[in-house]
Amino acid sequence: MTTTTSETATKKTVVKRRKHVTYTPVKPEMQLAFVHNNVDCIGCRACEMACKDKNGLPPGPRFRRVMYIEGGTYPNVYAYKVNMSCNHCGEPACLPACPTGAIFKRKQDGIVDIDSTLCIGCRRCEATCPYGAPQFDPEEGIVKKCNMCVDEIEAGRKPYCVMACMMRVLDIGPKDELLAGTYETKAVGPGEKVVTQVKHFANPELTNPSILFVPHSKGRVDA
Amino acid sequence: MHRAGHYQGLKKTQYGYPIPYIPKWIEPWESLNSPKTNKYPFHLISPHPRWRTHSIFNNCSWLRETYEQEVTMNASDARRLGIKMGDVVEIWNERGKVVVPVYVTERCMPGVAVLFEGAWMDLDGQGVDRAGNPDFLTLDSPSPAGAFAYNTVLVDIQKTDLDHRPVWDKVGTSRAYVFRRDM
Repeated sequence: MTTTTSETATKKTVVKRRKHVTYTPVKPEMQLAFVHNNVDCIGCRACEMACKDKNGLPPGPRFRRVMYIEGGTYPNVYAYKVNMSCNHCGEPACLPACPTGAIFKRKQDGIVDIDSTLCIGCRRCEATCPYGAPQFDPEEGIVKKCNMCVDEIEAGRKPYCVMACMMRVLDIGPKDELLAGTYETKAVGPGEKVVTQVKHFANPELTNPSILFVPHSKGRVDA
Repeated sequence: MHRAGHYQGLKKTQYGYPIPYIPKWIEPWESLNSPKTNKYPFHLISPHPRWRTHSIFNNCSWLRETYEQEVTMNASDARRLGIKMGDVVEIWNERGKVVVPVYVTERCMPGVAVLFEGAWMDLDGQGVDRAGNPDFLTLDSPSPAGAFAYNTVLVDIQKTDLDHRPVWDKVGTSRAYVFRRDM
């Protein structure tokens, strides 16, 4: 019991310190967010492949990562997937860490991106991100990350990962509408509610990530 | 009227093995019922891998990142043998030996080991496959009906110092590998 309280206290201190030293974050007019259905995802990793294809990545960096979470004791076991790329946080940890100002957050849709001409490959953002989103490209010597396929969004389409998802469990949409349940998406089934945090996911208070999940019953943090 | 036992007769296939007239389960050459389990206690199955088509696309580096050639075994078996997730193990029986990393999970039945088929072999000087192709462990004789009996194989597993060579280097510069799985 004592360990739990001290852990909570530590977390609170970390959050406080983080808020204290941070900059004034960009307030986007509309924040786009990913939504992922942890239960229906089959872990085929087509989204990962589509992403690597779009971004022309060498082996090594993977902007989108499908993670298996499993537990229980045989024969009562469970497994679900958590699918994450860059969460385009409301208060990105990577942004103030960048010494050259290469990382920026777009005003119109809240997308966080790296200006590759300014990146010097110091990899500080890689260390600060709680989700492992910025990743070092060993061939070009700079850090790259998911930009939610900005070009596709500006052309009125969805990102490659969303379009590649054969189970339709991954989608993007305005974060407030997704949270309110008013945004029409195949990723959220009838009667399902999205949550901002699942087990093994970093505390969303740290960076206010723009990702929502339909959680597995064993993956709920509120249960 | 058919007499009882009429359909229970056995006929011999062109491969010389007796099989029943109607489809029913018969004891395989190797199974967990056989006395060979004293020596080789694990039932090895070799399903189709998700990240290649049999052995095709095994050299595609993007696909090599998604999953890797490894043996899946139950956590209680692993605990008993002192094996932890990611350890390199050798799997062997009287036919051959392969070396692969291990994936320990509760989602696998105890007594069963899973090694995906189709890995490109990489033999060392002693005839040990460093890449982990289960073809080195499977039976050389066909099933009674002439199929390949690749899911009834008895093996043993232990931790090893032998070299595992996945024929593809994980690039150590990315955190991607660290985030691949989460227990």
